[in-house]
Amino acid sequence: MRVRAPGLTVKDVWDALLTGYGVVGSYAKLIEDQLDAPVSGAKADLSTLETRLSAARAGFLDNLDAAISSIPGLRQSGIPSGFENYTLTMNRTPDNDATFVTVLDITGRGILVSVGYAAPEGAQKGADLRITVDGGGAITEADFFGVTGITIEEMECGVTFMLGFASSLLVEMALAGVDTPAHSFKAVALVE
Amino acid sequence: MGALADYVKKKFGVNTRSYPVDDPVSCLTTVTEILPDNPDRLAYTHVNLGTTAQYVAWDRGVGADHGVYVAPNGGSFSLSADEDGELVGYALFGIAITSANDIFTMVTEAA
Repeated sequence: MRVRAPGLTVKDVWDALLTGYGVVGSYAKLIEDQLDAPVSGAKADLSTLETRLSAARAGFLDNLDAAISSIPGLRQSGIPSGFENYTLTMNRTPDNDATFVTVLDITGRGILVSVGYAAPEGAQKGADLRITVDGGGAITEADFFGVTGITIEEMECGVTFMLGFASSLLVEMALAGVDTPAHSFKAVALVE
Repeated sequence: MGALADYVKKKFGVNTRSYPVDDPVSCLTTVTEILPDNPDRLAYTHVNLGTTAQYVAWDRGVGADHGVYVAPNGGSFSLSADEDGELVGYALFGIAITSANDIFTMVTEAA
């Protein structure tokens, strides 16, 4: 009795099914586990990504990129610039007795940081404050303290805020009454 | 009578003839009778031309756990009376493992 097997050809080797080889550490097992499995998984994930990344979504991503890219880059800015991309804006305006005067009038975006006034020694009157943000209703010191008739008394450097404005800021102050010598009003804002 | 025929006659003691088996030409995934009982058969060669392995044996219990493995793509199995005795005359059964295989069988028997 003679049994003969045909010789293996190169094609036989490459055509051998990987699933028939399970010896741990063998080339076939390594190819199956380390190449075929992760590549097949990545291919499936890529297919999913390609399906989800429609032309419309790609367009939205382009818009997002453009919006982010247009934000001014971070920059080193020394004192007294304060926050990056913000300009510190200060103003001192002499009072006009009991008439409101404009201390800060800004068009744009920013943050009102503080208001105050410098009063000479012996000053008798406090200051009334009126803040208008984005063209809305004026905010007075009474809004802060909850009662009317309260004035900001003799503040140097004044009241500190973190009051954001998106389009405009108007800070007005007036002495509670006529007083001499003259006071001066101050306001500080960070403008974008 | 040629020298070959002389030699074969002396070897087997009778005149012989050889021919290809034309039925069956396929070994199925169920038990297939490849050669019937034949007391005049002196030798044969069986070839698996299919792409899957098959097993052969001399009874219908042939299977992966009962028989001789014949490799695909040209594996062959041969018997001769002078080596294998009366086994040559027994019926031969085969079974393919995965799918039916084309087979080729040549028989030498007493003329």
